[in-house]
Order: sequence, then structure tokens, then C-alpha cells
Amino acid sequence: MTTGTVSISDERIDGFGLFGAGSATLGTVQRWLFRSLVVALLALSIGACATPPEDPEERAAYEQTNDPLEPLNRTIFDFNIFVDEYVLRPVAKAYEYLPDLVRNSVRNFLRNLKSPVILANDIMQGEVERAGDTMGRFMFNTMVGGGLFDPASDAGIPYHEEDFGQTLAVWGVESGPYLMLPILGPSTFRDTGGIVVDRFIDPITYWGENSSRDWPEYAGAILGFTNAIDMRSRNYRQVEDLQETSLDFYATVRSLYRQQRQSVIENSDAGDQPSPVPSMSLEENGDKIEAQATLDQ
Amino acid sequence: MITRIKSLMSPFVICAGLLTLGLAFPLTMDTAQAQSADPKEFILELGDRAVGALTDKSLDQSVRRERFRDILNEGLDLNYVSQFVLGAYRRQASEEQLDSFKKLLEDNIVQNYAWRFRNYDGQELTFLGVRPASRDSQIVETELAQADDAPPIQVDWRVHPMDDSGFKIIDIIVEGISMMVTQRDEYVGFMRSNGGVDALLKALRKQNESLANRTEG
Repeated sequence: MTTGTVSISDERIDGFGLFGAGSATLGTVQRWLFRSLVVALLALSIGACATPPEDPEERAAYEQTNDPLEPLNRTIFDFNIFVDEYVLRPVAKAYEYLPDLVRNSVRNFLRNLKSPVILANDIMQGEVERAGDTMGRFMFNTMVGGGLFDPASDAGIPYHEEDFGQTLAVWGVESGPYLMLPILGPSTFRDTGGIVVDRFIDPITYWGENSSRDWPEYAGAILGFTNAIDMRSRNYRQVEDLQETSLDFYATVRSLYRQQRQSVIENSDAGDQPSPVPSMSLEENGDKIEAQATLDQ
Repeated sequence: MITRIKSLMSPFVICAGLLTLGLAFPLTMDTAQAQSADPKEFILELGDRAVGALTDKSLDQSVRRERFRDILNEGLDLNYVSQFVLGAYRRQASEEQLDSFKKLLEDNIVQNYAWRFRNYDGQELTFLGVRPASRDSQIVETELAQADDAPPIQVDWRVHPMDDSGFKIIDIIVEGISMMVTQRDEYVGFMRSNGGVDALLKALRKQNESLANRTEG
């Protein structure tokens, strides 16, 4: 998921995706949202493409951001900010009053439930060791920690996340244009496809559909919402600060999303390799500044 | 209202914070001017001496701000950074515009971050290694301990040698997120939708004023 993809510190730029795009669990509500979203995107994107600018400087900036749907994305972003302000933010603020023990248990519980999806993606990426970590964590935390505690981290197996968007990236699929999803937050074409696949992988989806009761069908949505609250609350101050000081909050979020995805795709959270850093060269001809995707090790 | 230091210490804020912290040479130290011969020493010396300089909670806000400014000028290659964050618009900018932008950016960093040090608990910075990066720059890898049991945060400092001697910082990368790239993308995004360099200068001027008022209050 977008929010909190990094295991080392998901307290980073989370909270922009209200539900965390890539949330492993999409329930009925989200499914409905998703369907409407696809239709809306198709309808809107036809007329909403930004025209590439004539001016060379602007053109370079335009190409670098890879955001041809920017006008539409900005509109969706405004909507998300609105939802954040009136729903997520107040709830997240209230959530902060809960004791640490409760909030940590909530997070551990949510993370533990994501294990099957993470494991599947570890395997598909050929990350044997990380797959073992995920498996071990799941068993240990479920049996010893009851799903509410995280003894595995204390034992030196830290949490990490994987999603199908990352798997696609490892397989060589380009990110495609940037995409702001309603409610779910920042994404790209590739990562949005990843969300859909992750939903099919997730056992919770099938559990919800096969249950004879009503509520499991909403389990995905409930989990997604709880996750969003947790993330937003943990990042409350950063989000406020950024929002307050950024001259173009949309552009800031877009940049953070890109960089963060790049970082988790490289698994630099594994700690056994240097984290990639963006190239920072000032080329003489000015418009050749490498996109942030270019990384030197 | 729970204002928690932990949340202040969030990585993104930290990278800005470290910018100061790392550069926090108290001016009272005559020897602080000595230029380090290698990037590791450069960053570590900064880190070691820094902690006390800005974090004194009784420090007057205006004093903290001016100390911050001195440190910033000493440790950050503002010339380079101010050009980098303009992105492709750099070429459009006139000499005067570049000049005003540099001043405004400096003020903006000072206004934005100096006040945050009121609540800063000096967390420990551990050296991990140095590796070469593009051009003549090098990356100094460090790890910042966090409060509670949270895992440490990886902070990479990109430094390059200066003409005279010594090093200066050109970027701070926190958990793979580059402060300068983020800043550039914000500014370029703004300029694209608001009308270029002049619009940016105007917006920065305005923001600096309101930030100055906030920190006074």
C-alpha cells in the first residue's frame, strides 16, 4: 500500500492515501468505489489530458513528472483533501488519545493480516529470504503474539511490505503515468493494477465473499479504514507541516510518492544494501536534470 | 492535545532538522571553522558539536534563528541547491531572479525549521559509511536513533568538495527520500501552474513573511 509501504518507518509520508492505495483488502465498498473510479477515469481522461506545453522549460518539467492526467488528478486530490479534512483527520486526531498499547496492537493486527499478500509478492519477486521472514513473522506473531503483538520484530525479524505493484516493477514494468485515486490516494497505472491483483490474492476477500454473514463482506473496507486512521494518526504532524508549508502540496505528494515507491521497490528497507539516492546533477544545458527515477548507487 | 516529540521527529521533518543539526556549529567555537579533510569527519564533527547549539529550550527564538542561519551558510552549498531546486526553470531565470531566489530560499529554510528545534531531543547519529556518488559528490551514510523502540532512520548526506577546501552538503536523503528532489518538484510544480519564476519569488516572499509572524507568536 502506498501508505506505509516501508517497514522501517511507515511513519513517513503515509496519510496521503486515505485508505492506502494498495491496501491489501478491498471490500464491497471499496470494490464499488473502484468500479465507479474506473468508469469515471475512462470518461474523464479523454478530455482531461494536459496538453504538453510549448515552452522548453515547462516541457521538460512536464515530461519529468509523467503526469499527463494532471488536471484530473488535481481535482481528485482536492476531493481527497476535502474527505481528509472532514473525516479522516478528525478521527485520526481522536484516535491519538488511545493508549499506545491499543494503537500498537491495532497496527500489529492489521500488519499480520497482510502477511499472505506480502508473502505471495515476496515469492513472486524471488525474494526467498524475505518470504521466509514473512512466513516466520506470521507464525510467530500469530501463535506467540496472538496477532496483537509483534515478538518477531523484537527477535530481529522486522516487518516489511510488498505489493503487486512492486512485484510488477521488479519484473520490469514501468510505473506508467501518475494517478490520483479517489479515497485511495496517490498511485500510478502500474500500482493501481497492483491493487486489483493484491485484492485477488488476499484470502480476506474470499472469506468475506463466502461467509454466510453480512459483515465479513465489509471486512476489507473496515480494515482499510482502520489502517487509514492508524497511518494518518501516526503521521499527523508531518502531514500538517507539509500541507502548511508546501507551495504546491499536490506536487509535493506526487514527488514523495514517486521517491518512496522507488525506495521500497529497491527494497532498501532491507538494510543490507545502500539505499538508492536520486541523481543530483546540474547539467550545463539545464533541461537534462535526470528524473528522480534515475538512481545512482 | 498531545504534541509529541516523536511526531516532530518524523523523518521528513528530521531531514530538515538535520540540516540544521548537522550544521549546528556554535559560532563561539573558533575551531569550528577548520575545514575537514574528509566527508566523514565533516558530517560527524557537525553532528557531534551540533546537539547543544540549537536545542537549548530556553534559547530565544531570534537567537536560534540567527545561529541556524550562520550554520546553514556554513554547511549547505546554497548556490548549488538554489539552482537545483529551480529545475528546468533555472535557465529562464535572470541573474537578479537567481539572486533573490537564493536569499528567499535561505530565509525560507530558516523560517521553516529553526523554530522546530524548541522541542528537539538530540537523538544519536551513528556513522555507517561513505560511498562515492555521481560526479564528485559522496554520500555519507548515517543512522539516526529514534525515541521508543522504533527502528533507526537511515539518513544519507550528499556532500561535495568546495573549490577552496572542505565540503558542503548538497542533499539530505532520509529513507530514500531526497529533500532537494522533493523541494524541486514542489517548486517546479508551483511554477508550472502559477506562471514561472516571478510567481515563485512572490509566493516565497509571502510565505516567509507569514512564517516570520508565526514564529514571533
